[in-house]
Amino acid sequence: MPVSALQQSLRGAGLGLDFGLVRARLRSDVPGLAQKLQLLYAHFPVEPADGFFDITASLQWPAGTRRFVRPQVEFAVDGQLPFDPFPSDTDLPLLEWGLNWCISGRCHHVLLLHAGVVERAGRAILLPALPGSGKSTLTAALANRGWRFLADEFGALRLEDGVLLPVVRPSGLKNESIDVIRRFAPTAVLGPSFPKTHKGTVAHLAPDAPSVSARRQPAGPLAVVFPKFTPGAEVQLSEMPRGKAFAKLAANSFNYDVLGAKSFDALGRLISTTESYRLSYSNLDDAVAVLAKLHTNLLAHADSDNGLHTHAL
Amino acid sequence: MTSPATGHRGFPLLCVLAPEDCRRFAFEDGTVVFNPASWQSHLLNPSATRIFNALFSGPCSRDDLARLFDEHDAAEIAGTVDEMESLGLVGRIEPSA
Repeated sequence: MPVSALQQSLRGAGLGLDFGLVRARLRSDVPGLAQKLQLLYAHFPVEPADGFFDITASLQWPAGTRRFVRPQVEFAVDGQLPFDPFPSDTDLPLLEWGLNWCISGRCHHVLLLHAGVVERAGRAILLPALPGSGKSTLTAALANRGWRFLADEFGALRLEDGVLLPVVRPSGLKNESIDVIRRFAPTAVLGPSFPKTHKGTVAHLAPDAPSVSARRQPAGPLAVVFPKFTPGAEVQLSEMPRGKAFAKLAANSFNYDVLGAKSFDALGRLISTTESYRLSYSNLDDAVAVLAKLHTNLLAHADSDNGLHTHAL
Repeated sequence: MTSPATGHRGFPLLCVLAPEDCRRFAFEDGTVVFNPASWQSHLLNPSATRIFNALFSGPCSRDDLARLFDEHDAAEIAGTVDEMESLGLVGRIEPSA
């Protein structure tokens, strides 16, 4: 869609986008935002804005003089302003964080784990981690080496059957990770860098066309890998005991406490039917190679194994 | 006083609270248990798992537990049971008046 048409949609009925797990309708009168969205959401079909949307959000100028003096923008959802305004030169990060906030606070029909998710041959690797552990960088690297990208931020575990639902959105890369991915995947599409955010410099990586096209296709989990970027370290993959993996995943969830027994059962099944690992790495090529080998080996055993190593009592 | 459940002295008896609603997954490094009253999940180490499983099988006294796990330090068992009580996983059956 041309920028002018995007701009018209944003200023009018809204720009409808389908991320897989959720559909969002965005509105904005902020100049320049349409160009950034066109770059990062290039492969997303534009949805008619008059349907049902899980999220209706807007990025707008605040009332008063802050449109002109040290201009700011504010994120609104359903008419509410959940955050303080941001400087207008961080419009896209505010929009992306705002959408993440909406997803984490609303999607309680799934267990939302703080994790990247990538898939090959129908089976996914979940990459949960705390901020700063290299999760987004590793997820982005895998997505640029032939893996399908399901999510950078949300491992959305469906409660009924334990499959992972895609939440295909731009990946937020921070600080050194931006140049790391530029070097690792020179053809990857990155949006502009925003140097003044509270997380440092942020840039967004656009999801590739096949991943966007497959945003409605779930994937069965095969492994849980907790990555940790360790400068100078040789790549090292080691098994993690399941009880510990359960505890770490629960602590890394957005809504584990909200769902009660449903999340306990879903997480227990996930941990029982997958293998869990720690991955320490500094070199992305090495980490990608180790995960590719792990995936191949686990997949080879998956057919001959029902995957249940423990059972719910 | 004689315990109706165990047939010997040792009130109060200890028991798993709401065992019918108790959910748990057993793993190689312990057991995760969901407390339906608090909605909290707990990772029990192998030693605590044995105590919990024993209480899940039926009420018993601290003396019974000590006999079951004679290789354990009694103080350790008592500490584990106290912690389980404080978490609401384990409760007491007091003798009726």
